Parts: sequence; C-alpha cells; structure tokens
Amino acid sequence: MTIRHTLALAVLSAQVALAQDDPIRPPARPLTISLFSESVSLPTFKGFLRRPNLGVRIGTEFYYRNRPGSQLIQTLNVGFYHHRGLQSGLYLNTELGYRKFIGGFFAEGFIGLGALGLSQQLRRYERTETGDFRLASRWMLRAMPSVSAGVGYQFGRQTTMPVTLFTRYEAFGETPFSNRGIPVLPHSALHIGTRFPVNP
Amino acid sequence: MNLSAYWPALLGLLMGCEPLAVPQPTPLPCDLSAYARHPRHQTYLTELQQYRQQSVAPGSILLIQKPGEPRWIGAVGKANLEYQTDILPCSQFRVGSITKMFVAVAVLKLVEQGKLRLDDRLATLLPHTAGHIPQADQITLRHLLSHTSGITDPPNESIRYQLRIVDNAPERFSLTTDQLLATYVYGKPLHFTPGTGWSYSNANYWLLGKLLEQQTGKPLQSVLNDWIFNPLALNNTYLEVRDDSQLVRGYADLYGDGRLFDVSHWDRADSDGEADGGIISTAADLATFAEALFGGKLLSDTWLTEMLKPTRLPSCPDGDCEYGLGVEHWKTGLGLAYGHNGGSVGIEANLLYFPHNRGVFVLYKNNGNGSDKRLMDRLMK
Repeated sequence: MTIRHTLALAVLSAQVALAQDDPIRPPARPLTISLFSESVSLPTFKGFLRRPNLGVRIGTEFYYRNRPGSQLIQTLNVGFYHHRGLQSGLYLNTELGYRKFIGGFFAEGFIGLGALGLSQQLRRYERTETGDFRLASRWMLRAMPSVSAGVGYQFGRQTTMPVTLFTRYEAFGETPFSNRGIPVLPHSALHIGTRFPVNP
Repeated sequence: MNLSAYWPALLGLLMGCEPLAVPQPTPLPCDLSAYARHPRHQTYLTELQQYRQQSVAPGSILLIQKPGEPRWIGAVGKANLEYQTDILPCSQFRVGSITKMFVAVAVLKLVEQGKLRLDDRLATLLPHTAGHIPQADQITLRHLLSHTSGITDPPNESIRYQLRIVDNAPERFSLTTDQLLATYVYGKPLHFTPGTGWSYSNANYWLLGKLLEQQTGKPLQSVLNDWIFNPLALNNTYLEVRDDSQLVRGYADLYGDGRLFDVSHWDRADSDGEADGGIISTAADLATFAEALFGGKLLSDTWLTEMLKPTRLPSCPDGDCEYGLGVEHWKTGLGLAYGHNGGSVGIEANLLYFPHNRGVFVLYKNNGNGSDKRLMDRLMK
C-alpha cells in the first residue's frame, strides 16, 4: 500500500464519519486530520514544495477552557511521515495550545512532546565484543519536542457540526542526537488539515 | 470512526521503508606480500590495530615511509560493512581536505609560470565576486591559499548547509560550485578584515578551484590530471565524479550511542568533484605525491619555500597560524611536519611529511570522529 492510498483511505473514512448523525450518542469529539510536508531543516518555509516528504497526522482535542473567543487545548495525536533517503517516523504526541478566534478566523500556537519511532534508511551497525561491526536494527525511539503555530477558519460555528480548515507550521526535534555538537536533529512540517466533530 | 483499522497500513508503510542500497564492491587486486615481509611489519600492524580499536573505526590504513627501511602499508578492518569487505592497503578512499594541497600546488604552478601573482586581488581574478563578497578588492590570492581572507566556511559553520545534506543529499550533490557560492557565501560578512586573522574556510578553495578553471580554460580535474596525477603516475587518484562503489565507505555515530551509520552518500554529496575536498586516492599515491612535492619535483625551490612559509599573525596563538599556502604545520614530538588533515562526516585522513628524515606518514580511518594520533610520534622516530 502506498502513502497515497493510506491518505485517501483516511480522508474517505473521515467523510463517512462526518455524514453519520445519531442523536442518542454522547457528545461529539473533534477529530483533526492533517497532511503535511516534512523536511530536516532549521525553521524555514523553503523546500516544502520542492521535494515534499509526505506525512499524515490524526488527533483529537480536549479543552481546559472552551469559550466563544478562545480555547485552551490539549491535543493527542498520532502521525506518520516518510522522509526519502533518511527515515520514516511514526509518532504519538500531545500538545498544549491556545487558540484565539476573531469571528470564524483563528490563530493558534502549541508546544508539545511525543515519542517518535524511527525506521532509518541509512544502514546502521553495532560493534561486537571482538571489535567488529554487524548490522544493527534500524528501529529507534526518540523524544520529540515540538512547537507550532497556525491559522484557520471554522465554518458553521453556531451549528453542532462545525468544520475547520487550517494550516500550521510545526518545528519538531529528534533527540537525543549527537553529531558535530548538535543535540537535536531539527525537522519542520507544514500542515494543511481539517477538524470536525465525530461521535465516538 | 475506527482508527485501529489504519494501524496495520501505517505499520506496513513504516516497515516497507527500504534501507538505502549499498553497492557491492568487486575484489581488488592488491599484493600484500611485500608488506608482510617488512622488518617492522608486526610492530606497525599492532599499532594500527590499536588505533582502529581506540577510534572505533570499521577500518583503518597506515603508511610509514622512513629512510633505511622500505615503505610499509597496512590495513585492518572493513572497507564496507554491508558486504564485510576487508579494507586493503590499496583501497581507494576520500582524502577530504588533503585535496587542498593539490589545489594549492596547481595555483602555485600558475604563479610560477607568471600567470598569477600572490598579491592579485579576488575582485580582479574573479570579477563576479565583486559586490558579492565583501572587500573582494582587498582579498588576495595569498589570503585564499592561507585562509586569511575572512570568508565564511559553510561546511563547518553553517548548520543550514549541514542539514541540507541530511535533508536532501542528491540535491546538494547536484549543486555547482557557483551555486554553492551564491547560496552560502555571497552576501555573508567576513570574519575579519582580509589579512588580519586566520580562519579555515573551504570556500577559499571553492574560489581557487573556479580560478584554476578560469585561468586554464579546463575543468579542475583535467588541470590536476595534467599537472600532478599523470606526471607522478598517481594512477589511483582522481577528482572527477565517478561511480564510487569501490571506495571505502564512511561511517559516523550520529546519535552518540556507539552505533555507526553508513554516511557515504553524504560525504559524496558534500565533496565529490570539489576543490576543497573531492580527491579520491590511496595511501601509496598520497605518499608519492608528498615525496614529489616536498622533494621539489612539483614546484621550484622558490615557490615550495613560499608554500611552506608559516602564516604569522598577531591574532594566532604565539603569532603562528600553523598554516602555509595549502599546507598545515604540525608541531609533533619529532619536530615540524608538513601536510594536511582531511575529514568529513564519515572519514578522517592524514598526510604528513617529516622534513627531518624525509619520512611520510599516511593514516586513514572510515569513522568521521576525531582520533588520537600519537602513534605517529612513536612510529616516525
């Protein structure tokens, strides 16, 4: 199965979920789905379209404070990206954020922490007791601090089924890392996504 | 919505991410018998084995050439961990910044021929740099050769440069020297007024490579072929970009956990074909080059003396910048040695010439970490 197939499935199922409407179910929970382009870089907007490394993220939100003009948010997300020639990453993360509305428009910012499982494309070797080297697992687990900011628009704010479109710039790190004195390998991701309520 | 249905697909993607292919080398014809009969074979081999173990390198090569004994070359460990290929005394490897010695010789040959002067200005020699490199009209050929131009050094100073290789090595591999200069050098401030400080910069040699091509009307590899490689019969040395499947592969501990990644394609992307570090060679060819250069076969006495003359500036420790024109000055336990170190993410190479006994020392390993090279003092006595 290709990345494109997986993304298509994810979007299609979200639409099916959106079409369901069962009044006896508990309150709807927001589901956030975003597609993103990832790169290894210091924060920059260059390069995302030149050679996109695609990813997808699915998550939900919990509200410490949920007012008409602002929200204090905790997110929980799983995501996956494939960086050609370097690695694939599967992560679980949570973010604390604030969202400010002006009409249907909003701006938001988040800080987060997660666990990032990596499958490296570079061959990796470990030393044996005799001082020789043998092929090592290409799987690694790393901490994933993140910071992000975005803007968006929420349609149907006064309805029970508001739908949000947003874009978000995210900088996340892969740590511990240790080469040439750099303790964190920085990544950037540019997300385009949607959020809508689904009944659990 | 049932998300659990998608986990198998995501895990499938993750597991389906194939590692980068490593080309399989073919066996090298390499006659080792002469070195095995060397009177100090076991001593040298033991030192090399210890060096390789201490520096956590998959493989290492050592060449010792001293008066009174034949040249010895030894190799221990692996050149290619994927195929567990042995590293051999005749293995070809990236020499990194040792390339700068070759490029400096070519530039000094033009000076010797009267086509260039060490006081010529960058803005005159390469007019397109005027307006792009600050004080290009004050930077001289000598400043470029001796790293006293103040020009920034992207490979060592720019995290953006380094991350670009990690992010997209093929893209970096495709960049021309002009594009490198335009992206990472032009418009950047100098570290100091030209001639007042010393700061190692690969960009100095990117510019010198451009200059050689402009002055000769030939690609840089042809200049080096015609003036150095062919006359000295360095048959296993080249600069141009070729298939690299036979080369010793480079490794680095990227995460500080003792495990080594094969980073050969990063090293290739960073240096292949470039005047700052692109040469591929062997221990024997490097020694032949050193012997010829310091023996006066490549440059006249006047220009060899100029090449070796130390750069002295008040801003350097004790006033000595320990660098000539493309040549490092190493203060060893055996006295002054001339040569160069070469390093990249996955390799370290050293070429040194000891004038007190005309000895030559070559030490290579395929791990890009630093290393303790005190074995040199013990072996070159």
